[in-house]
Amino acid sequence: MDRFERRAQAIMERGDRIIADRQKKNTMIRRISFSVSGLCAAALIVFGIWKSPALHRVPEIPQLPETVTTEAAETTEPATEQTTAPAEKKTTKPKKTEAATEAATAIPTTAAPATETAPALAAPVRTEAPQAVQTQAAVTEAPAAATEAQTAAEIPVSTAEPEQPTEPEQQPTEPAQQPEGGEELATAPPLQCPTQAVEVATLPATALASPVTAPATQLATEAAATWEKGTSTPEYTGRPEPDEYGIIRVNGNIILPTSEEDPIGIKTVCSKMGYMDIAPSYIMPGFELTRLINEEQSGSRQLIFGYRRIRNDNNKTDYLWLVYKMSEEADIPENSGFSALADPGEVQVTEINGRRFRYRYDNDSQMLVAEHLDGRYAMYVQIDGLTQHGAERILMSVS
Amino acid sequence: MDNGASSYLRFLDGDNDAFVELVREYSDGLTLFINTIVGDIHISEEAADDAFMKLYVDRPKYKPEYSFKTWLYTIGRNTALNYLKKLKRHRFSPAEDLSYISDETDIEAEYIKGEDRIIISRCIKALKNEYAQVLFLVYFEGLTVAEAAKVMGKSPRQTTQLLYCAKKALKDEMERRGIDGQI
Repeated sequence: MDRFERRAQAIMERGDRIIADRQKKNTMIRRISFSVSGLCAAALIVFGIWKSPALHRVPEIPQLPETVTTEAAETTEPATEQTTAPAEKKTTKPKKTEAATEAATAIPTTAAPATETAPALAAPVRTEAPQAVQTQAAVTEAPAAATEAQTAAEIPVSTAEPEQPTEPEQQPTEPAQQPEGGEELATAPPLQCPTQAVEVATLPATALASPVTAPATQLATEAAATWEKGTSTPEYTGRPEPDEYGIIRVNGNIILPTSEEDPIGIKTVCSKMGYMDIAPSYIMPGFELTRLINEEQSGSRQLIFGYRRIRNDNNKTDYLWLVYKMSEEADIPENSGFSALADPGEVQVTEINGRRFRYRYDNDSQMLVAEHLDGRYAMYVQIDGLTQHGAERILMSVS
Repeated sequence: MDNGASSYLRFLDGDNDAFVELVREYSDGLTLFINTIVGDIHISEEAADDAFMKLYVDRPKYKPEYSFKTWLYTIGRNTALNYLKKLKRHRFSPAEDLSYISDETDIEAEYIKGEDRIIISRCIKALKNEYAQVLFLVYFEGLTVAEAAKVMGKSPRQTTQLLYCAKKALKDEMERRGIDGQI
């Protein structure tokens, strides 16, 4: 190795050391930068979540049903009928077996009567469409009887409970399997009903209150009336349809029918439902209609509008309740809505657009309650969370 | 493309023997050239090593528009100028890194062939740095005036003027020393 090689070797060794140091430094810088950037990203995410308004949002109040009917007299009726339903079912069993044995022994072609009772509380009623079932009946001792008889029987619609769907079909076979004395009995195999035409029909709750005694053919035609084969199903237009009062409910939002005379829509709904047609003409921006309840009680009914507003600055929630009441019998007395209005010292009486209102504002709870009575009609207002000026501004806009 | 360029390209492709060839071919000339700038043969050797170290570690891109020698000497000159700045501070070098350092006479005797050229070389060292550089590049390294201008960072016209002055100064120095170059 001459001096040039030694010199080159020394240069390369020093160069390799420098390259290794650089690689170490680069690796360390890369690791540190990755970890630091990960920490920064995590800190940013945590900060974003911490400051996110979604974290402080009040959960949605679940929607109540549209109409609540609470009549004590009606609720007892289904219960009594429900107890009688199994009794009727039992009484029909022997009839059904008799009809089946007669059909098997003597009559070559019979139409079995369809008598069946429906359970009162099953919400989805399982109905089986009528269909012809061919059964073979072998007659043992009767010489005149045909050895093989085909009976085309109309199987009744069994609107029985889902746990016992095949009970009526198995009953005719019981006497055939247990022959008694020298009676001519037909040994008919158990009826096998193909389940290819099973349809599920959902009946409204009011229909379920009374027992279903309709024959099978009638139920079948009713079911078929809703949807006929060969016809296309109604197209989904994507726009929710308003109900009979013009109210649209979509995804938890309630949209009232508005017009130029009634930009909020409360008066239109009230007049359609038969309540007092007055309402605030001004409701502050941000309030959303989240509840609309129409309650019927014995002798009276009431309509409740529930508005809610979530403030962005402090995440507090303001409420505005408008309650319209109508008594069918007597006039509504004072203080029937709010007991807070019973104290005559603090209650203020004012006329708003020719109507007498009694109201009171509580500074501690920031709540305004008001009532307006007109014979059998009443209107109650409750505003939570607003200042007295803001609450009175809504109240004074009632027209 | 001269040999130095082809060796360097082979080195860039991963052939370390090509780097040894570069050192063998250009280290002495580069050292003597840097010596005309620095004025110390040991520091010049070290600076030359650093110039080769730049080639080995950084692997700079070679532009074929210049000759490889011009390019390498330009790197060497810049390294020498950096060394001159560093020399103002205290400097420490590991002893093992200096094991290969030879004596100046050995390098001169091996690199500059002929007695007359050695005498001229000794006279050149007595001149100003710029005169010594241009004379060394043109007469000992065989560069053209334009290439020498590139290495020195001057225009060709400046280099021509500098070469004229350097030759005049060399003549005066040789006349002062006598034929054998001794004072």
